[in-house]
Amino acid sequence: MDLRRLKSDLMITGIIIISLLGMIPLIHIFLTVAWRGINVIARDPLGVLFKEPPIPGSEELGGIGPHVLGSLILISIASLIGIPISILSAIYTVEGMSKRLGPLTSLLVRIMIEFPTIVIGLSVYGAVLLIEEFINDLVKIFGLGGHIYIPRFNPITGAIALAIVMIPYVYTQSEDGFKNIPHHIREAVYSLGFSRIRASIVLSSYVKSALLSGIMIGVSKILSETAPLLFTAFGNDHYVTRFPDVFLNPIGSMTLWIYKAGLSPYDNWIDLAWAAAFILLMIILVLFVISRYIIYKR
Amino acid sequence: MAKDLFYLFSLNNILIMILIFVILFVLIISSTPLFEKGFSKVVYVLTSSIWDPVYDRYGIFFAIGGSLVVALIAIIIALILSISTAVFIVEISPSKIRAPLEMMVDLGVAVPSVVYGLWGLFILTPFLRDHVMKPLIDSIPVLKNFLGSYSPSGTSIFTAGVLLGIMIYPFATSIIREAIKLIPFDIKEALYSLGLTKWEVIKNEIFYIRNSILAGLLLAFGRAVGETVAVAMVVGNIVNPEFYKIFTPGYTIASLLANQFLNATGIMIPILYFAALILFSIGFIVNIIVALYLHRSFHR
Repeated sequence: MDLRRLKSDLMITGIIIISLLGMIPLIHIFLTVAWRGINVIARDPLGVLFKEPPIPGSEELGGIGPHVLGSLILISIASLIGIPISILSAIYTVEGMSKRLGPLTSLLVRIMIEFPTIVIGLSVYGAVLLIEEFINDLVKIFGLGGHIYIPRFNPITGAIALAIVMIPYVYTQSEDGFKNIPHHIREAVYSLGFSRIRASIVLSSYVKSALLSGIMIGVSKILSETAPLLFTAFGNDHYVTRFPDVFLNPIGSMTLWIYKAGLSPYDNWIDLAWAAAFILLMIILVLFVISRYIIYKR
Repeated sequence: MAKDLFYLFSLNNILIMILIFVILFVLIISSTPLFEKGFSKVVYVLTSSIWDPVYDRYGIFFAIGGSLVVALIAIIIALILSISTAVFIVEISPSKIRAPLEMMVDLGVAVPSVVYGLWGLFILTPFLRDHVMKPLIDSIPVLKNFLGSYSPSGTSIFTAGVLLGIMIYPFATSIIREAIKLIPFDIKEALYSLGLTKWEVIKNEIFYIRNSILAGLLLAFGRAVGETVAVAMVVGNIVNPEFYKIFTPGYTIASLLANQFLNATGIMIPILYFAALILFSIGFIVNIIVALYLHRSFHR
């Protein structure tokens, strides 16, 4: 018997066993979340999606309505802030051909992508405090009296924190897209005598699949973030309906709810945490499949 | 000809840089009350393990240590799992199941950390308590002196490390997998033409992509140190000066921030900002290293 052959077979078997062992937790997570989530949602599908969470100690199931809505609001505002900034700066980096600003942005954004997200939330919270202090100092200097209070926990601060998390993902995807434009196409566009802005618009439509998949990745990243929201959106179990109040009060998100309810001692809250986890996973799965399809088609 | 306003786009680049600068600026400004107390106070905060709100004395060494131990456990697990899985997917698995396997690993990257946390809290924690910690301590009681005694709920630094390892290994796998795929075909051919066995070829391939593996591990380490909610759900959140006894509950920097920041008063606030600054610096250094020295080897 060849010893080298034997050793090779043994090691290969070992690799297969280890990688299958590694798959078990992943499969287990998907199955557990699906099983428990579906079981909870099946009890009252519409109620889970739209009702408010039950008060602690009650027996009813309730729902996670405010958190679903909160996630939607937070992600919409964050996308409105984050997507234009990241795509426009990626255009500038590639098409602007600047010697310093472009490469520096490129490097810093790749470092930014790994910032601990809780630090981003903490910084936004700290920035609100510093701005408030500054305004009150001004108020004192001008002798106006009174104390200005900026609400710390609201959708805007939450969305700003999420936008900061989102920017590097959308930026890197867009930058790669623009960098991969073949030379002859870029030359053709510029030879038409367009201004650089119009040329950028034409080139953007050429790389729209890269931009779209970047947006998908960015949205699914911020959809799954909890840490940056802890000190900014804070979480809210109730609907806030009146107009200005929505932007002045804490707002919920599905991830914040899973964190809070998962650690709570109430069974119905924990059930709703699994339901929220299932809904979240489904949305992320859909975004994942769409972005895969876009990349595949490219 | 109309004036080209293209240069206005650069405002976005400048804005991104301002954002990064502001994040750092806020952390430093907010922790100045601690720096004003002098260098010895900063050293005291860094090197002692006290959390005493009554006398207003705090030292965050336990959290720094906890973070490093949790990340270390996670990295060891992720290293073993990710190299095997990447090799398995690219070199060993039949081509029919390759795409589904890749997809599942990539989905593992996309699962929200709070969902990992929920699963860790209700599935992994009881499992590790009943099937790893309890049998180990019961059969070899001496180990109690090194590993500590487990808590009734099972939350511990060890549990957090294992969960984090499961969390970050898909990410490390995708980096290593892409690196293996990028090995030039001539090199693979040359290896086989030497008459090497499959395992010997794989061993050489792993050596060939060692820079990418290092980059993947460093990035995974950065993620592990910064990860908050999943760890906060299973680490136990107890001030534990003996954080190296991994079966006992503890704290990491991130989970300390998540749990204590909104209750903080007085000098505790700048100390927590300082802790965040440390967290930020660890991630920053890791990523500078990767971006400057290892970036080229795995990103085109």
